[in-house]
Amino acid sequence: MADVVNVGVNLDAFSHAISGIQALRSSVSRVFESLKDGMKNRETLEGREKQFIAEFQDNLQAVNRDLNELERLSGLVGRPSESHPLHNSGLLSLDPVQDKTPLYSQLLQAYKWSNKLQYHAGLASSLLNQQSLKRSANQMGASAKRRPKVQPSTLVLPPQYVDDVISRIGRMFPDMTIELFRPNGTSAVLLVTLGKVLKAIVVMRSLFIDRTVVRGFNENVYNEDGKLDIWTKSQYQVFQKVTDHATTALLHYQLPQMPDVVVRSFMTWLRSYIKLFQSSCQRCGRFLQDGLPPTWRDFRTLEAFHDTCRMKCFHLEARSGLFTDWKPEDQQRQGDADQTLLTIDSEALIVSPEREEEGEEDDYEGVKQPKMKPHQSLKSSCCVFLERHRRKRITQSCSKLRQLLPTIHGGHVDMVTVLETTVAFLETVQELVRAEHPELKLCPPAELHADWMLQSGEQGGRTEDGRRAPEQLLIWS
Amino acid sequence: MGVTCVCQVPVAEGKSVQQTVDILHKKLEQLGAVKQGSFCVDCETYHATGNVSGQPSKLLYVMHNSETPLSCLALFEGGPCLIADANFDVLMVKLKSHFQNAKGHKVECRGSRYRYCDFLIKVGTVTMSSSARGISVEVEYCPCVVPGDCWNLMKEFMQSFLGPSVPELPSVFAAKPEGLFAPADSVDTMTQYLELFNKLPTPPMRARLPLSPSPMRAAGSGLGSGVGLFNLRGGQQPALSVPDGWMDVGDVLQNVPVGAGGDRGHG
Repeated sequence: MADVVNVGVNLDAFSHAISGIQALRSSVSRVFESLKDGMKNRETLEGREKQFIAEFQDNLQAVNRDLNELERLSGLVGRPSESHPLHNSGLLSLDPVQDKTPLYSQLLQAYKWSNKLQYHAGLASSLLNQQSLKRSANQMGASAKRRPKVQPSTLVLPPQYVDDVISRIGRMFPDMTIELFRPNGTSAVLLVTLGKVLKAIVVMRSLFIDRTVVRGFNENVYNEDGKLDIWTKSQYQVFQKVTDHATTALLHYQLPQMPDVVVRSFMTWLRSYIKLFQSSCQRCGRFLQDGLPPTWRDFRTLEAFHDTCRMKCFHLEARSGLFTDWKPEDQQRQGDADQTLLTIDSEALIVSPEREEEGEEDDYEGVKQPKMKPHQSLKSSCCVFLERHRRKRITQSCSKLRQLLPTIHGGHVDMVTVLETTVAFLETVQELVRAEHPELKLCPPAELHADWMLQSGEQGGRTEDGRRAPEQLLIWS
Repeated sequence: MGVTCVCQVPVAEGKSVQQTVDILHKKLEQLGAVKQGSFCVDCETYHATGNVSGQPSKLLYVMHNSETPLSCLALFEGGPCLIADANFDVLMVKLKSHFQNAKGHKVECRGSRYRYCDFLIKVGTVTMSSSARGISVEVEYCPCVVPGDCWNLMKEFMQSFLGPSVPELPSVFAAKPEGLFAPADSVDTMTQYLELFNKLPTPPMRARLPLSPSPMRAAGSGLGSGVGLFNLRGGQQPALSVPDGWMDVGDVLQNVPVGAGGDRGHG
């Protein structure tokens, strides 16, 4: 067990030191024994006294000698290496009992592996960032400046730093109070109280959020010992759902180099629950669905949705680009949505590498849009983000349109050709339909149409006249 | 302890109280609610003696709720209230000289308790002296403590099974100094029940006449205004008698002389 590891200790000197301790113990016990026995029988009193004192002196000198020897040996032993990575878990190596499971060596291997992983991931991300496929050079410059020069390991942060970050975040929002506890060592446990709505317990590992439990305002957060109860689920279904969503949010907001941005984004998202019982669902407009209020908060826009309604909303967005007549309302909504995105530290999120298909965007950009000027200010980087999102949607819709059109072969065809081909195709289809059934009018599927009517009605938009032929609809999908 | 709303449901046309309650139960079960036992809310009235005559004597209401079985709530209408443990009833017995129990005026509301997601719905029949006087529905939304936040949510839920007879925001919440955004508690629930009990009208005689002419007791209007007794015997003129110390009845059905002796109804 110990041969796998270099503990940094001189093992020989260690064993000598142990025997030195035993010697010291025995000499000390000899001192006390001789004291206990008292003076031995001799002829004269002086003789007795003299011999007693001599014996006592000898014993004390032996103790002194052994103590010096021990000090010398302990100096030789040396300290165990400070840089031992496992801290307290490293003491497992001192266990002399050979277990069935080689716990310590496995622990060490796992730690080495995770260290290597972190190192390689850091290398990879820096390489990928260099060859970023972003559109504008401005982003690159800004992010390079913003990245801190010295990157401390984010897994081992001093507790004071963590305290500072948390208190700063706590001051950001007046209706949210954050209390920090450290019940088990250095890991922080936060108790976040949001108005009179909920209480969330957030367990952290240095500055990374590990897990979270959300409970109601009137529920008990302490267990019988008076410590924070971090395991019990809420007794209300609505808060069980919110806990699930919060766990999803933890998986969504990820940024390994800047954990404080992640914590801030998560708290901003959590704060949107202040109106948990007051908001109605953005999609269906009702308060209750299966007895639950809208518990989902969109990660970008913080809008409230029912759990079942958010799925439908996703599908709707994906298809909305196809029908240009609906675009103005949709875009306005998306534009507003992108504005609120910025509250979640999008500047920092811009730094993280993009995950969508960059190739098509580049292709599109090469044909159509000019590059952003490099001397634009930080404010316009927000506009860049909005613009990029809009172009991404256009590209996605364009590629889908390409696939839908029967006549275009695969491969690079730019937007202009696609649109022209679509126009021609639709004209052909309309002529064909008119030829066969003159009274029919082409319309989108009734359900989708109803959904868009609802949305445009919400936006206060214009009614779609001429789009609904109530008698006969040719449904395509 | 969440936000509670107590309201009265009118008896359906041409149906009895029990049938209306059954209709409500069926609607709840269709919605997906699960029955979780029964509940009971009761209220006893005590008449404070020792007041200067001429001044209307104050009435003390002592209420119990099966949701908080170990507690007992005592309140004056519109006045201070007290939450005590169950031994308070014994204390009231000992205070007989100061507070007289109006024994005929114990109002009870019993029924079943349903749970739907985070809602607790209690549909009960209000009875006084074992005669049904109305139907009460209590809806509690447990996770929220602030009435102003979740009122819209509760209204939408109540609409789904009560239909058109959805109540307004209870006045207890609006009457608080901090308004709608103070946390709700059990006192508000019991105050709402008290208002409901006081509002219930005298049931019409038709509904309560027995088939055979046997002595029957009738109680007057609500708790706050006193009691009237009506004693029917087959073939005899109805005699009205009032126990000592109570005020005269407000809504006497017939103008009849008070029976000096003879027939005397019990209080």
